[in-house]
Amino acid sequence: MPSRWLLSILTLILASAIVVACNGDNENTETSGKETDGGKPDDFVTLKMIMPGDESARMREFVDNELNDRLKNDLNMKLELTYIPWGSYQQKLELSLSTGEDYDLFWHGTPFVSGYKSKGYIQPLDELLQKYGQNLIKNIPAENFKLDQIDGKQWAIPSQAFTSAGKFTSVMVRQDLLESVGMTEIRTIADLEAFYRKMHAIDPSYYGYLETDRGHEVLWRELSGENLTAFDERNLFAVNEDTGELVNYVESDLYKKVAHLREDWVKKGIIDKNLVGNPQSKIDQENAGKLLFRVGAVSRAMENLQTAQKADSGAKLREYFLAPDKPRYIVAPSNEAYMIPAAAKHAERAMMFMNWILKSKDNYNFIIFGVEGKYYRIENGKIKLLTNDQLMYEWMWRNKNYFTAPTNVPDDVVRDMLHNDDNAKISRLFGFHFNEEPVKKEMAQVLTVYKEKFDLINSGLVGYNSGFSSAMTALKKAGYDKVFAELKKQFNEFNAGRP
Amino acid sequence: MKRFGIFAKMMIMLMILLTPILVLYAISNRTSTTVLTQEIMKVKRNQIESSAGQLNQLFAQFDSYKKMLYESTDVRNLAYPDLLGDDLLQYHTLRTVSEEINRLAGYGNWKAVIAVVYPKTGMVIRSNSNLNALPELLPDHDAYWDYRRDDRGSYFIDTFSYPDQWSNTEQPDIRVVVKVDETEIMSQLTELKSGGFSDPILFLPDADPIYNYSANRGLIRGLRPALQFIRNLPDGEQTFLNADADGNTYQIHFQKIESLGWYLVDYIPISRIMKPINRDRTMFYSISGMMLFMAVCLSFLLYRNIRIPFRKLLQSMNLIEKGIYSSRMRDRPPGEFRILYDRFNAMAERIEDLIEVVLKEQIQSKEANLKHLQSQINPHFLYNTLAYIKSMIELGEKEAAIAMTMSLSKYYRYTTKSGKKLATVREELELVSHYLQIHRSLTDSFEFEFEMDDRLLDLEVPRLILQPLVENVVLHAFKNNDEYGIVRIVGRMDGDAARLSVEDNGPGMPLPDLDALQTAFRSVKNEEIESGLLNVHRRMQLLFGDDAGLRIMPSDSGGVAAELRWTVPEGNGSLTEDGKGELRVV
Repeated sequence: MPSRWLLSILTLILASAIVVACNGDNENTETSGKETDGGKPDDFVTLKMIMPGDESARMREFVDNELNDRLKNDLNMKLELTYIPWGSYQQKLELSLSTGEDYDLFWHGTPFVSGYKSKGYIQPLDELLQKYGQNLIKNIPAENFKLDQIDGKQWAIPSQAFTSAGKFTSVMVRQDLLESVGMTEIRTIADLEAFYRKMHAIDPSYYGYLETDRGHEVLWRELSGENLTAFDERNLFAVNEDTGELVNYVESDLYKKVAHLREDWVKKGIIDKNLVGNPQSKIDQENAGKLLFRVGAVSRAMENLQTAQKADSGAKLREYFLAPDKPRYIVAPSNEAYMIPAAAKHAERAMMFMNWILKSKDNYNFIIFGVEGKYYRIENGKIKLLTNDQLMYEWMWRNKNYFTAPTNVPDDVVRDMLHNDDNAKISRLFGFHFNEEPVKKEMAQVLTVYKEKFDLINSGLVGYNSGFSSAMTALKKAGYDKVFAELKKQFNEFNAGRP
Repeated sequence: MKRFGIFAKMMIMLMILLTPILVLYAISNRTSTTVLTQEIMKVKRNQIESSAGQLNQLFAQFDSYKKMLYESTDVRNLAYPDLLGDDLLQYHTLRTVSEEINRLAGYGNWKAVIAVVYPKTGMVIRSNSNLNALPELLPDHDAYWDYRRDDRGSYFIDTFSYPDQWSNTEQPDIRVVVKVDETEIMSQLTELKSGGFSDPILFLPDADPIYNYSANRGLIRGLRPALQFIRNLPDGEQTFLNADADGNTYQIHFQKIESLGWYLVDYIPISRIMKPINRDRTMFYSISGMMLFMAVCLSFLLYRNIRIPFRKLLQSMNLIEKGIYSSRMRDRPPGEFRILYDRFNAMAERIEDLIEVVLKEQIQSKEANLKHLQSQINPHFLYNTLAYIKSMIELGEKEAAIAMTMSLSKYYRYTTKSGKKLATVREELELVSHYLQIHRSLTDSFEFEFEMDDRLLDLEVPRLILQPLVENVVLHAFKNNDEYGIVRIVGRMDGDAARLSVEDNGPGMPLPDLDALQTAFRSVKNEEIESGLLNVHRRMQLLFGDDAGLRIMPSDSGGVAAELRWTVPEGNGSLTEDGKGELRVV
């Protein structure tokens, strides 16, 4: 009997040894397939995403370590971010899109959605949104989604869900410097000029005004008796909110007033003519804490505070509307649009990733600020940032449900921001998308001429009287009238079509 | 060798089979390991050379951008704003230079800060990026990819100034600066890592290495002492070195990036790469060892289960051969050998049985015949007969004397004819009638009669089988009997069962005596033959088998009947001379 036992045991050993030997290399076999019950997909992917700005070492370390560990765990993916500096963002982004590089997700402003849709750069998201985007639907008002709907389809995710009325029509000032010259607030253009004059008298190294994007609407509130909303950031057209008429802004008296004012500012030194052609230098001035005021964007006082305080720890920022009693208009409740390129390889995962961001406050804080305790702390219900950069700009995903005010931002600034939309009106431009396709050629020419001729007038380097008529002639030659006619036509159709 | 025949042979065969396999495997394993190591080295070499080449190229390219800007008229003109005079011209020149710089900085994936600095006017034109600002202090002499550090981090800087000599009091007019941050290099190293490098770093002896973002810094610190040797190596002669850290062996490959003077370094955990191969090898050897061990076990089992029982069987056979028939197989193993052992035991038993029976029978047969012969030479009988003949002659009864003499002579001739052992019933009856005639003549106290089935007459029976029965009747039945005795000899056939009985009308025997007699008959095999009746019974059994024999019972006429019964052998054939053989069927 024992010999029979011995035999069976030996056979068993041999058999198991063979089985082990055969299975030895199968450990790494991956199972591929769709999704498991927990919503975590089975296949591991690398999501490629384009972001504007610069990547700091801290951001990169966070992505490579904590974030991608978390994303692997939650979504079985890793994030690969390509940062394009702000100055060349649009140009490089469009180059990537037009050459069909396989990025999966990118951000841009809402006004670009329509153009990218007509160029075929992006794909409709309705199905993906319904299937994977329930947290987006839950946390972003349905109205915001309408912004990015064209031809009945959703083309982008309006990632921001916050206050937005009168965006780009306010002015942001260095409140601490304003107070240091004995002023308390800005209500008129004269206040701005006085602020510069007083400050410059104390320290001539301060730089007056920075214009990196649209800057005309700030002045309109005071210089125009009507309620005008700019059509877009290109300062060509506007809508009269009272009458609903489209305004040919460049040829209007208002433009003339603005141009004269700028000319005056150059003379006064508020605009430094030596820096006008050197955009990065202007930003360097702001980063160096030498800027007195610039265009506001509802929450810029909060967003830029950190940078300002880095250069001058006592810095305070505040946004003001000139002619504060005039109404504010909501053109786009979210100017931020996340789009999925048509060439995306992992569109589903891109949607799941966005959904993940708004899934919980924890995720939201994690992707924006990083690891709690390491990159930020919560103090008295406010967030204290321990770093000076954010992986994703907080404003991109700012959401009423998850927003936490930073500790360094004064309560009145937060209050301004949270109550910005109180009593705001919906702009007549809300939901309108200009399809540039019919006047594509003219539009390109108009923009080139505008840049060559009008930028100089806008910045005050060339006087309106001396430069305008030739510039306008060139603009008309480029097809300006045709563009305006097409815009009017489309806008009338848009108005006719709405209830 | 003889003792372990099968065992040893099997072992040798196994060795012959296994050895070439093991040798071949060892050779092929060594070859593949070498080839693999060389391939890995070659791949890594190519990878590191081309990447270092690309990095070198890139920095050279940035350097050429620097020269382009340095030579640009627009850049020069901006150094002397008073000469330009016109705001608009300055704006256009500024914008052109700014755009040019941004264009140059925008090429490729690398983010460098490209800037033109005019120290005298304080103007800076640079590529746009928020993070990668210029250092607060530019180097006080022109640098070619110097590695420097300020409170915002480390960077490589490349500058070109006009004029190229200056003092603290007189700053240069123009400085063209290209700066690459360490963080950018870290990003690019991380890219390399995701592109197939295992853990690339940039290394310069005596400086802190530039890591990739997910570098295993602890391990690299462990490898640093070995890396310091790079300094002592002549350029290009050696391209890798080996180092141990964390219990693994690492092959460290390096290639100098000429423009930076730093080395691009990557390491391969060679012992970890080889681990699966080594594991497979170990597994193969251990399985081979296990198989060998199992084969030894199997052959041992075979030896135990076949060879040993077989040997035992042979030993027992030898004992049987030597005449020790009592030898039996004990400790019967399971399986086929149990059957074999059982059969052997059965066979040995049969042999023992047969040999004992034959021996006993021979002895008993001799003994029975001897007894019989003894019984025939009965002096009393002879004396009586002779006395009768004498008196008859004296009485002149010549006829009676002659008859008696004839009977006696026939009787003795028959009884002394010892050559034959068998006789027919007819012959026996004839003898008995002579015997009875003699006795009747002597005593005249009984009659006798035959009642015989004819089929019985030619059957063969042992010689002188009937005479003892008749003698018994004559001697005992009528001794004290007043009546006239009658002896009846009856023969019957019932199928193939033959019966031959001798009955008398004497006083008979008491029943206990009869029983005792029957018992004696039953155990006759083992007993010495003492009485004539037992002798008869035994002889019948010896010839016709155990069913045959003698039975004593009360007769119909009140006396005793002694009955011989036997089964007539098939074919009614005559028995062989010696009275045994095929008739002795069990």
